[in-house]
Amino acid sequence: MDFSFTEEQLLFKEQVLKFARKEIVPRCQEHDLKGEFDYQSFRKLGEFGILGLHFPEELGGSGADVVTSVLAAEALGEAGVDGGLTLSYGAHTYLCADTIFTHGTEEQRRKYVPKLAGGEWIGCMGLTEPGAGSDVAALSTRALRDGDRYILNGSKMFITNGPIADVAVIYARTSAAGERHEGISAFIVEKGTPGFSAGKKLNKMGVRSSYTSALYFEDCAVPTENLLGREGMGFLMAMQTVEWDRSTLMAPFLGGMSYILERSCRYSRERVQFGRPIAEFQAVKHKIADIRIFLEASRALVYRTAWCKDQGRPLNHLEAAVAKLFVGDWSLVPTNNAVIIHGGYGYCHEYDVERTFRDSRLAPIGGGTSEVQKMIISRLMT
Amino acid sequence: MRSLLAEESEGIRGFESQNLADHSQAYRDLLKMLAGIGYLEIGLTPDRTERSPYADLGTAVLAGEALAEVFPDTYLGIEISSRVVGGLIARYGSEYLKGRYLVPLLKGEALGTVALSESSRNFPAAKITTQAVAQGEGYLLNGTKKGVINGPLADLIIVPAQLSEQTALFIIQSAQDGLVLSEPCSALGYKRIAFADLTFRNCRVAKEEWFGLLETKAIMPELQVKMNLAITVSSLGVMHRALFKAKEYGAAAEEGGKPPLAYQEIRYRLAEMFALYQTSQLLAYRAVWMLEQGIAEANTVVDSAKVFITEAAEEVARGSMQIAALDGYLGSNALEAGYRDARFGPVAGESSEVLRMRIADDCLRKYL
Repeated sequence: MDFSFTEEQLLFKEQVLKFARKEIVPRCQEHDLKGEFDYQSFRKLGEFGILGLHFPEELGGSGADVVTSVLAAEALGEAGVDGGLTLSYGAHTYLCADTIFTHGTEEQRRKYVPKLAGGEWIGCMGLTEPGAGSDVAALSTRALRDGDRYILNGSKMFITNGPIADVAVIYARTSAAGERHEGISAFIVEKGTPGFSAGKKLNKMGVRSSYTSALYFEDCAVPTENLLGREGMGFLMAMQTVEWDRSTLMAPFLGGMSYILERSCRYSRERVQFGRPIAEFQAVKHKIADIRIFLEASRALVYRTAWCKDQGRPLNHLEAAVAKLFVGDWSLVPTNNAVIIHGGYGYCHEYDVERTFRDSRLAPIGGGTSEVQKMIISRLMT
Repeated sequence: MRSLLAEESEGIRGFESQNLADHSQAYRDLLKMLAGIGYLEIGLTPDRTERSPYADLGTAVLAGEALAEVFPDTYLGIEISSRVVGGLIARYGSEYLKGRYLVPLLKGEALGTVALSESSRNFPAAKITTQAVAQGEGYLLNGTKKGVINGPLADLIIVPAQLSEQTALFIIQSAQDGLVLSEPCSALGYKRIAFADLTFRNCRVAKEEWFGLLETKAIMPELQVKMNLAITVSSLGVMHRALFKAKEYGAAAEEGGKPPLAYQEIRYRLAEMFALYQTSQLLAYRAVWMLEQGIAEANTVVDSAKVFITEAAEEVARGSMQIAALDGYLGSNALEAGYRDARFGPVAGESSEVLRMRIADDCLRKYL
């Protein structure tokens, strides 16, 4: 196994770091505290090329590999970009745009991917429902064929970018026959389609600058040319996004660990108690060390998943579940350590380790809960 | 080589014996077998050692894992003899030392060790107190080393000692006058290897039995890295055994009319243990890969791996005993032995506490 990066990959990571520190980070705290999506920063991510990094140039991308995409996402977190913006970017690029790119027709690709890659449009994915979270195959949104269109009825829940999305990839049941997961299909639904609406923005504990809402479909007519792939292939498509979820979507958490490590080191050097910097106390040093240890362990998992995808290897579901479980569950430890190192200041909004603590709470929940990962691991472990 | 190692090493008996001679014979049998399949010389051929002290370490770790899964403790003893002692002689030893000591080590005809720990036991934290003074055509060594792995069985011992203002490395043979071995130390776990304290009382070393004036500032950290890595891989073996023995138990036993694995709590516990194990493996591979590539941060990642993996082994061993409940606690069984063995990693070599301090210092330097 090769863990190396090319000079180009490392150079690009450095560029993303500089760009994010200058253009994005100064705006993060305000948007997080207000719970507002930062349209300007999102567009800047598009202009810089991050939103469409791995798409081909003719579709507005840069043709980057997965490892480069992971390093770019890691750089955003490392620069101090808030989890809300990186979550919006992940859902937009990997759950929506990439699904259209991977499974769409040439026409669908040309129509949607360039606009999404450049940030002109915002994308989302609608899979989770009020009654179908971890149990994806239980979804009940229906799509009934009616001539040259499908009529969608149902609702989706906890949809990242839901209230602001221009285009959504929606999973709905087209057939009740066969196994539960066999009758699911995916559709592209555009904003403004009659019968399609978004619910009120949900007020969340963390990742606050990312908008989350329900989506509603009431006799929403979608043309048949908006079907993604073939009928009944939706479940497989949804599962394929897992590859991205376990690499690029988790990479900002890695970057976030580097960020809080840096902040904790600097703060503990500056903060003097009992006549000396708190960095000289063993208890503080041990907390710093534990942040670093977690970071290195997580890097091994996430880089490995990205590397395997670049090698064209089919997703190893066991490894993917381990990566999600480990990074998800353990990411709470270093962010908590950072808050404790910062003491009272760590609890205040002014020191953004508080924000990373709140943001990290999503890690064991979003993209498949830790409990679901344990279920998968216990089933697959040899 | 992995499957061959697993198969062949399972067949060797005698490690459990309380008799030191039987124990020694089992070691010799295992060494011979390992020499026969080329295990002992991985990374130690002249073309490899000249290139880097960490050449082929990835291969050695992968092969070593297979051995550690069967005998985590014996793996450690063998690794110290081959990659640590053999590695030092191959890279820094004179032609005389290579001919006299390296060849028998690689043929499995001799067992080596390195005596690092002194009264503080955590060797990097304290200055070496064992003294060497030049006398005539050789040197006289005085001092005591503590809890030396392979101590009672080793044919040759590498001894770091202070020579004037420098640390120098000497080779002592087991029958050397002035070398006093304590009784084998009684230990909580790792029963298949032997520990002893070694005392040197005017122990005479011939001039040709030392490594010359080396740049020990570089060699001692290299030695620490190799020791820590060997302990880390050994802990991977402990973890592997505990995890799969617990799974075996969970499938075969019966609790409330069904196997323990039928209970979600047990399955989830196993899943958590598996996640720790696989994360540990990947972290170890990445650390070794960084060492092989000569990446600047490799040492800190190796330190991180040692802390994480040895502590994860404890957690996995604890989980495996919990799954087997009283069956794991009572009597002599693999889960109970694994629980005791797992305690070794975090205290052996450089302890978790020492390493955490060094990792933090590295981070604090980086973010000045």
